[in-house]
Amino acid sequence: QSRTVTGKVTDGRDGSPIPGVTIHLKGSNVGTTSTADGTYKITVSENAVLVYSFVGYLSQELPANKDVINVKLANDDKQLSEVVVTGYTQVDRKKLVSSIAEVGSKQIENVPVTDVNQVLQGRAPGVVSASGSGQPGSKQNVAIRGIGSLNAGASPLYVIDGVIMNTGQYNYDVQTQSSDVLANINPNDIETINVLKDASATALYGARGSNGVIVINTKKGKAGTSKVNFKAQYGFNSPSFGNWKLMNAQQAFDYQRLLYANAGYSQADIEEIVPDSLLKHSFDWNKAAFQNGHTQNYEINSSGGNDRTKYYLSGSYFSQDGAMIYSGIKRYSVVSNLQHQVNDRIDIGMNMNLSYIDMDNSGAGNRYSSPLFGNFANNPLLPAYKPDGTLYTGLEDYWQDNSNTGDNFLYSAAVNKNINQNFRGLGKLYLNYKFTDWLKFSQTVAADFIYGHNKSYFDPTTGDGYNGADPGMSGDLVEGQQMSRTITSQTSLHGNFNVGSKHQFDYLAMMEYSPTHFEAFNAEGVGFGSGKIRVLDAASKPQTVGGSSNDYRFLSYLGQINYTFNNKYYLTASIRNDGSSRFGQDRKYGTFYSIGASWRVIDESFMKSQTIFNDLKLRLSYGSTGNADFGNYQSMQLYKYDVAYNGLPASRPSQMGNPYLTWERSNNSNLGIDMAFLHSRLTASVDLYYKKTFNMLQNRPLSPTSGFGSVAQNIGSMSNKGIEATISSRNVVGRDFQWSTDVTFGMNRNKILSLYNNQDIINPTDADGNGYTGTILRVGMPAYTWYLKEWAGVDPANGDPLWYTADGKTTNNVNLANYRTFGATMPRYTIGFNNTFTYKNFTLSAFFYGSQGNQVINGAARYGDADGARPNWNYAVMAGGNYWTKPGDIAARPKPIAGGNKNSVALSTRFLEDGSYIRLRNLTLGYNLPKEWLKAAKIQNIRVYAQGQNLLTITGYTGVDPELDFTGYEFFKYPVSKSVSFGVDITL
Amino acid sequence: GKLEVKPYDSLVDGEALGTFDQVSVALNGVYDGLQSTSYYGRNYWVMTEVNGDNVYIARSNSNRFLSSFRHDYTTQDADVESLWKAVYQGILRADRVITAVDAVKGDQAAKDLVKGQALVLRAMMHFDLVKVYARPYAQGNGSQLGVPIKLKFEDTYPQRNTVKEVYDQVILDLTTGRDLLKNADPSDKYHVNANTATALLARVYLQKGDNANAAIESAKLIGGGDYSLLPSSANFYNVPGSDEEIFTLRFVDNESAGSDNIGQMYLKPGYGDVRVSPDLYSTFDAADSRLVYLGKMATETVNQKYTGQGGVAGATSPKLVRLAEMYLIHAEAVSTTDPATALNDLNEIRTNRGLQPLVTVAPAAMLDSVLAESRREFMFEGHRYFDLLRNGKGVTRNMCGSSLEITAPCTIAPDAYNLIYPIPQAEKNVNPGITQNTGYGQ
Repeated sequence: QSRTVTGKVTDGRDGSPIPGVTIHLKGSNVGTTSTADGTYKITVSENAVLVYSFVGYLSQELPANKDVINVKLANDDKQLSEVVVTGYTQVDRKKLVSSIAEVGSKQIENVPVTDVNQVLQGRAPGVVSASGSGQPGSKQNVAIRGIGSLNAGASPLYVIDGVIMNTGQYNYDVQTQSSDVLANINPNDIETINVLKDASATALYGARGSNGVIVINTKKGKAGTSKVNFKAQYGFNSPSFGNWKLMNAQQAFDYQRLLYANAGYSQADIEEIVPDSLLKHSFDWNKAAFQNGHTQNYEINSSGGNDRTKYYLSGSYFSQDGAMIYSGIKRYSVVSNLQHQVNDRIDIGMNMNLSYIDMDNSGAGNRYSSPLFGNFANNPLLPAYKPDGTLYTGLEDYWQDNSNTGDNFLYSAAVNKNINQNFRGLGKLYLNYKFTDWLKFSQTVAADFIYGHNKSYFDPTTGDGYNGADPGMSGDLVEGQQMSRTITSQTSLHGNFNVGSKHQFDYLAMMEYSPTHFEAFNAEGVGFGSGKIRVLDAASKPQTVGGSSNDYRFLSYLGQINYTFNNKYYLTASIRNDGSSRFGQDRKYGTFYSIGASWRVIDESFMKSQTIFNDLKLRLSYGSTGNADFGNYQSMQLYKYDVAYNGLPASRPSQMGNPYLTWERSNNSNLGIDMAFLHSRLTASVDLYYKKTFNMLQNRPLSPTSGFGSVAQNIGSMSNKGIEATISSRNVVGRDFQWSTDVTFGMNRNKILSLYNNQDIINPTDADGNGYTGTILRVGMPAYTWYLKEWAGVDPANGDPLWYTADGKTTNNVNLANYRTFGATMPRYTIGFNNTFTYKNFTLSAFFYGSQGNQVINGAARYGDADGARPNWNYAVMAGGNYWTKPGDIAARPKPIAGGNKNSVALSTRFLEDGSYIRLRNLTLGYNLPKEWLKAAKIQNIRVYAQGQNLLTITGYTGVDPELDFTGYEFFKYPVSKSVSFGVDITL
Repeated sequence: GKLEVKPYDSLVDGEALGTFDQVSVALNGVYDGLQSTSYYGRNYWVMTEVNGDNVYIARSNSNRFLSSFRHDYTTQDADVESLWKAVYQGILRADRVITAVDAVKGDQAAKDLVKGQALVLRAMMHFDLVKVYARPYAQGNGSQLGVPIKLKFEDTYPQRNTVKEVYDQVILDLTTGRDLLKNADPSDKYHVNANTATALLARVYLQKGDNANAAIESAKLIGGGDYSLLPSSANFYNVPGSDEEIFTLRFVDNESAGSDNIGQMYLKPGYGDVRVSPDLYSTFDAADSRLVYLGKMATETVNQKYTGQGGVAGATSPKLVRLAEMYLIHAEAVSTTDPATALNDLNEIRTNRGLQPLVTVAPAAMLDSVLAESRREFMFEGHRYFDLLRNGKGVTRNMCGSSLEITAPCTIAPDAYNLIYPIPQAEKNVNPGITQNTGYGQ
């Protein structure tokens, strides 16, 4: 017997109606959605249970025991969606067989970061994200479930709205600075980020999903009332130097005199080299190199639609000053996402994302004109200003004789220009044609256009721009352009069908073709008539020109089938055949597969009587994935034509080549359990995984006497295993006060299983060109284990540095010390810990991130705490304490001597430190203005908030920042910023 | 198919070496290899100067070449490693040309010219390696460990050949190359020819201690008439192609290494870290025309040989072999057996450089006179350190403790382990067959 239930669904906090809520009968596919005013009507049978669910709210189940059921839905700040978008397809969350971490827009919105990867840190378990630089817009290094590959790319694959997108740097680089086109995406346009981790989830990207897949879904319109949002945000940031502190003028003066005295200089010499007069015009270079800056973000977006047409439109402007002077980023972006149901059979849609970035950089840490390095290379006893009050340009005799660098960055950073510009156009058009439910056809064409431009200008009056041999040829401009075009075509058949009432099937069959073409060009000119003219047209003499081009292509066929039995047992199987142009003749294709199953234990009859679990699901998956993120043309034996002699073209053997080169493969197993307790107030997901990577794409080091550095080969194997957990608890769920806690935990253990002839690889380099100096790849140990000479302290007799030799004795000759293994560069555990408190219209959240067990080298200390190795540079404050002064001293530092003490700064465990830290990543206080105030003004919502980023870091590390990329080596890292910002969001 | 793509900037090996013209282009690549900043583009000429006693590194410096000055290399020293790699890359380029040229179609005479050049360059590269990574020839009469000889591309882990084996190969390549180059144009200064091979043979024999052959080879060029000594002039090193040059590695103006070129190591503005030792300056007679290459900066002396080529500060085309060396090789080679001829050779140089000829030199002092002249003539051209090594001398510096320079040892004894370079750790890390030099650990 059936009857009709009606009612209204409202927001539990403010009572406003919620349109678009899914209301369905538990255990069936029957359902409806709420209308624009939140009302609904549904036909139910006896003993039915209604399930109310909507994105951003906690689902509710109610027995349909009344004719009118009004429902208040509570907000879900974690905002897990009902369907999980895995890129090509969407999966009902309860059918999910695989390990997918989801980060929702609530966690992304308004966080003043340039790169979405910065949001993932600690929010998604198993994802380790770290920056190599605090420069806004610089590259983030991301690893999912450990280091996935040694010489092929170890970064995840990025998919935006179903299409694989390019990442990385597209700027001609004259300064070893990093920029990442991912910074072009406005994080506020993102609805969800799904991190696909196990084989079943990534299998659809089989070929390239070995390092995990990050699926970004931009916001789409929803049927119901249309709305307009205004966002404005303004903030302040300042550099954070951690425990790293440089000497002031008096400290540097005293220390410098000590260095020369210990080096045996006479008092008269010392007074000549370090005269008292230096203290009169000393200068704080460190303070001068950094700035307190601003962050601004302004944005308008609108979304809405009806049954037929849905839209999301947005435009935004974001700017952020860097911590270093003359550095920062500006981003302009527009997004247009449209969907239209043409008729019963056809729907068509388009996503478009255009963005442009301007990045200012005052130079990377390896240039003397860079404030980053210069603030340290210039001693505080060196004045910045001439006696007449103007800045030294660096070319004056006084400066040339007394500085180490010949460059006053305070002058040169202002007149030199170093700009990166990135344009990105991401577009996608799709058309779906439905023959019947079990046969649908889709065609998608997507494009990813990237244009990068770099300009590096050295002013004629600076050390880098001045030409002593021909002053007329002073001034130097280098410009470079890079263009990349990727077109992706996807043609698919898909559908679903049932066999009887208990067997449900859906399937997907697809062909995907994706060619990429890349072009680069650069030119240099010298001889500029004025420092204000900064275009190549004005160069009076051309210098070198360069240009390059490359192609790579992927061709793939894939199929997937999902089977559901009795709504309790789910099975997914997929297979994919991929071809890549990067591999050798006859080695281009690889086949990858996966199988996954899940079991909703909670729905079994034997669970009906228990009261402990509100939800219980087991997931199991196994499958293979591949990796082709490797250099182009590596299979070929090549001669390169990029050299010349005597004005004539020349060629050189550039690559040994390996025609047998093929896919790197991984086999992945995952066991997961999803649980809910205490009326679903406590939920937990735990995943165990084991991943074995083999046929690894490696650059096997060759003897340098061969004339080549390495050869590409499929060799060796490696494993990653670990545990990930997400626990969410709604601790207090009162009407006025709510408190929830979310914890993510990740632990990964990496181990090298085999290498070429099982030989160690020392000081390896990865696909991105990162050099892992001081580390080793050794069978049985984690990748990038430290391999160093062991510091044995200071000889009490004479203050010499000591290291251990192979037989356990000590030596003061570092060349005679032996190498040993120590810890690894990757963290052993990472943890994210978030608490959200809501009181009436106030929300306070505090998010901590912790990383434990990574060992890092403080490379800057090899310069700043160097026992006098660079006597005219500045020194870290710590260098001035606990050093050897007389026989018998048990000291931490050798006798400081101008010019250094017996290679005491050679790379050794002296500079190896525990890089564990806990950081308050985000602290937000928000307030929603009461709805009743806004009703008259026809405003739906106004939210004001204040938030802080990186306000607190707890660490024992002595350098600037222990959050390092995976090389684990800090060398004058561009410091991350602490920031506080204020914002308002208005919804009309 | 759709997945067949080819690179835009490279050719596959077979195509790149498949015709005579392509092999000729690859030969240019061998010369390009010599231009590496790690090799003759800068480091080989700066490191070996700084290793010796002609120069010092200023107290205020940009942190370059300190380990070379102090002879305190660690086995990971970047300069030591990059030199090793750059020279072996050059050797590979030469090897590929030598192998390929025999297989392509073409005029035999033209093919001989290509092969001859590659052989001479390969010899020079092996010689340059063995001089710095192995003990001097006399310290073991060649039986001590040299460097691996690489005559073809191989993916192997070679052991070190003995010093004698390396010298024998160098001499073989030079004599074979010279035969093939007998028709090469001697007026082309920018490529090696038969005269270059002869000059290098003279240099190699002298370094080996085979003075008889050194005298024979150097005499061929002194009397040959293809070259002449030129008076010193401020721009001599800024303009390539003079009559005195036998082989010059030509850099065209726009391929300077910018602020990283040779001259910028000496010049201010520029890094200007390397200054001229007062000891060297004091050996100059006021009439010496070569004083034009020395400038003054406050109380210090600076090198002005490489002020800039084509308007590029510090750029130069290294004159790797020039006639003056032949006189001094000849003089040194006969200094004990025929002091009178040695004196004549020496006076050829002296009179050309504005000095009075020496009238008498005691036979016992003859060698020292030649070495002193060589020091002045080839200062900053990478000769002095090898003059000392060859003659069993260590490095003795007379400026120790001066507040102008960084602290460094005053003397490095002839038998000191750190007189020569370590085998780079990068080679040790990969190659189990390689043996480290004594004193640099395992």
